[in-house]
Amino acid sequence: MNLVTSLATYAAMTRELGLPLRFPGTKEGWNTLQETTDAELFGRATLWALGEDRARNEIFNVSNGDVYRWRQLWSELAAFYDLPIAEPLAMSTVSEMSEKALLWDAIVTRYGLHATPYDQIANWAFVDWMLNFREETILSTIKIRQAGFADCIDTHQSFRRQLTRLRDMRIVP
Amino acid sequence: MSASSETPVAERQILIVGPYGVLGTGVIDAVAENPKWGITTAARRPAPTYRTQAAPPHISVDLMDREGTTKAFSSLNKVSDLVFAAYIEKPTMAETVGPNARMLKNTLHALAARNVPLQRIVLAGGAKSYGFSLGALKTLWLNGPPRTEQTGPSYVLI
Repeated sequence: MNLVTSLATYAAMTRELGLPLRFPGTKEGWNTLQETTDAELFGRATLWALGEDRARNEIFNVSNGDVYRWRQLWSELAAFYDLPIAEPLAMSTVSEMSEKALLWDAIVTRYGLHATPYDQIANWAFVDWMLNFREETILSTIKIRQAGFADCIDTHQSFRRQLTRLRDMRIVP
Repeated sequence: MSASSETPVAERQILIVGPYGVLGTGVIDAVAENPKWGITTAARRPAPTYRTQAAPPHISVDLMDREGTTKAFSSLNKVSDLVFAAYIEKPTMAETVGPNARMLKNTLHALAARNVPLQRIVLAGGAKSYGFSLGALKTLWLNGPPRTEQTGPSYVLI
């Protein structure tokens, strides 16, 4: 489930509708401290684990190394689509977005995108889940760092980079 | 560092199952940046056409099919390492366990049937292992067993 692809789809459709980029989750989801893992960082951690003796038969957490709040990270999505931000208004994106396949198909045509079917470009149930956390989600990464994997990435930078890659691959406008 | 009987990294080849999900794509991209490693992908579907990079060698396989998986992996004589990033999600946790365990078993069975022993396996998992799906947990989830009582079966790898 790719959250970034789903959010980029949400933002692109919001822009097409001429609306500000509203955070469709709760105030708690907007404010709660969270942590995430960049896929390429995970890839490098995987190669490290395959080759490192100290990783044998061990379980590791791996995450970016910083924390984020949607309250700040949302501005990256807004900037990427040049949209003003609208304050949180909890809604179900499953309910609000699922019926908008025609809008997505029009965006695909207008921007000459790779033709991803609407039911595959975004997972609205996952968006609803990920934007409505009530508790912080912080994993300890002490173990993997002490075992020798020190790689990390700024979450805002990771988010911008993933958005850029999706645009470069013409998956989203 | 302890003595190891492993083959040096430079001669090792990864098989990745579940290659074009979020995590699998991250592994493929990391290998592309690291000439010490080679990689073969295995999935039902081939590499997505939107990817701009050249796709690594691919094997078409349905991991739910034990015999088919054994046949598909039988010729992988250079593969030394496995990255397991396949995942099927079902409406309930109980329903999710069966097919995921089956894919993992079929993969291991197929690779064990070759003449080449596996050096390492990385199982990709997620925060559900901490009971993430149940709600609030003690802050700073530490590597180890779940901190909440499990309410039922859980397919958890990390």
